Amino acid sequence: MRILGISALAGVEAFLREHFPVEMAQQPRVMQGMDAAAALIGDGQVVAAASQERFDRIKKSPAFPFQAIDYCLAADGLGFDQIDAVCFNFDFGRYKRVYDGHDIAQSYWRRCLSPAAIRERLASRYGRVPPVQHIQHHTSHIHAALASFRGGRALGIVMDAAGEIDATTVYLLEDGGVQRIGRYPIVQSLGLCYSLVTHFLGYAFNEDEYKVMALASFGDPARYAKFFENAIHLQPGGKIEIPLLSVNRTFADRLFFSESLHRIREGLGFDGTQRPIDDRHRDVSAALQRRFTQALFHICRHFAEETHARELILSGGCAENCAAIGELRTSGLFDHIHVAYASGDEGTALGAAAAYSAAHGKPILMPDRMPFFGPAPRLDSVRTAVARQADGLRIETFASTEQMLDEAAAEVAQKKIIALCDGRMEFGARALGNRSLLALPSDPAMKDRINLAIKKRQSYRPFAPAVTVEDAHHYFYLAPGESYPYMTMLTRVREDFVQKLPAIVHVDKTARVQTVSRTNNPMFHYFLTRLKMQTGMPIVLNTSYNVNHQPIVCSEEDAVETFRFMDINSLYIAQSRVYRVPADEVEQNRPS
Amino acid sequence: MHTDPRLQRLVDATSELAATRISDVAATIGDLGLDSQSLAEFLVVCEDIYGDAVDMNEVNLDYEVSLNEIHLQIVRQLDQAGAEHRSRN
Repeated sequence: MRILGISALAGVEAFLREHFPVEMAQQPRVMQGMDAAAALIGDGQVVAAASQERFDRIKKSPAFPFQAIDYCLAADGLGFDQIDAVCFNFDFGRYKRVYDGHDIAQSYWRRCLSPAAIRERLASRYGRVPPVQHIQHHTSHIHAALASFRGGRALGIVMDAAGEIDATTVYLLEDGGVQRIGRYPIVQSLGLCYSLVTHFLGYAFNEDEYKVMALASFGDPARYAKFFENAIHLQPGGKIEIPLLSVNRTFADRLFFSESLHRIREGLGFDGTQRPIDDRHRDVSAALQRRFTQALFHICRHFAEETHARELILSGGCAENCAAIGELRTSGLFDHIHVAYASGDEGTALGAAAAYSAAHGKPILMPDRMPFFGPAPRLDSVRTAVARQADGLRIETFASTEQMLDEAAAEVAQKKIIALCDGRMEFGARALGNRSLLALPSDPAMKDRINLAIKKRQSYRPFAPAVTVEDAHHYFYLAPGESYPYMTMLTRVREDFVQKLPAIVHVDKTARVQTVSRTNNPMFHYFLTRLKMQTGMPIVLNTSYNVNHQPIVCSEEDAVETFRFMDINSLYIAQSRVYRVPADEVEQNRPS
Repeated sequence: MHTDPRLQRLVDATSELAATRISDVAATIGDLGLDSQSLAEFLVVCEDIYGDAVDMNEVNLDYEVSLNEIHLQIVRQLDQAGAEHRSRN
């Protein structure tokens, strides 16, 4: 059985721009339907999965993911008419009456959310549409996490800004079953509250929350603690109340949370969009992060006591808050925490298909499998892309991937920054070695060099390390063999290495570590072992291969184009190295 | 206390949602002050109590409808769905 999962709504952005131009000008990302993606499942395995943003080059693209769908079909040599079922990541059909009260609300439901509107989108491109299933949003999220879970009894928490009508859902996962045991409506959304404060601080709603999380480490939570304690009430029984989310009265206000934002501005007492960033921004971030963490603990503690579960599975956008999750990990509340590799909405494309597959007796069981489900670069296409750039790029090829990685490791050891763009593209927000910028973490200048000159992003933002799983506990506070292959967990760096690894240690002496195993990520593991031979440490700074505000590179053309504009040494791709012609040769070849 | 524990849960959860102490099954949506703003929260309550099989689009939730009537509509719907399921198998 071939199942296509899709993360998408039908034209939400266009609808909102048409009906709410003022609000959209101010808050263009306060909407659902972003992170469009597609995933193809066949006989209980993920065949292909990719986000639309990688193809249309619009970060967190809200476009209907036709390119991602086409990629998935091509990856399996299928036509659309060979798909047995199409699964969407929202089920707004069952909540039609929520939109009954107002003409624009009805029109919004009909044009953007309804099953008919979504089906029409597919039909407009592919003609005949196979049976369409609408899977509840949080069900899709939890199944995205289960795809890489090793099994057993666990508590599952999906937490994001909003699903259809809920914001946090709690599950008991047992014997292959998924039972919902708790639910928090949107007016109790911790994710939404976090995003609104992100917006207040002048960052992008539904995109820049991780920047606020990073900024929090520089602030003092005390100054604004009272505001957030009053904003987020923790009640007995694991309950949460967030009064400022219940103050939006009109349909527009409920879509854009305008009145909530007004209350936040009023309560915090300054204009957070003003730059440069000062102590107020840092302190608000710190207080928000602290209250969010307390609330997450509040929910986890309640349900852990109720179920006696010792494992926790997390998905949904809030699962990307690795600082809070890292605190949970060291709290002793759970023995192990598993975070989905694609916990944002892109993951729900895979999760919707996985939920349907599980309901038909074929659960997706791919524990510890790396999410390399995207396209892989080809050498002939790299050559074409290099030839198209007529300004001094060269390419050399290697007899094997190992030879290519030997050369790459040697360059990194010499403090050079390289891009490694080989194998199938990662599914999810993280570059895990196949679309990565790599550099030496022991070089004190490296963090600023990459942040400011290469990726052109805020200087305070940390970089993550990738380390061989067998060595990870030497450098980080992890148990021997403890594995976080998807770069989802914050850990403390051992004191001996805080000074030795300055480029990957955050101000609070933590790092979001990626452990790399020989079994599930053999080429990247090989690279790290070669690096260890030259530097003594199997650790590399691993950041995504993209410029700030752009999606991670996907095609050979993207990879070469990005290389042209980045001040890095080499691009290793498809058993080749792309590099710049030395300046003196360019000079010699210049026509007189 | 009501014979069907789901009805008691509906009364309790709705009272909490409406922030009132009304614990009467005859209380209507209007009495409880539940408006379109709180409809989504009310649907969360209903799905939690009765499960996702219930189609809330088919339940009359006008202001004059009481909690008991809502409960009976849902139970009827679920019974009917159960009967259809049994006849199919």
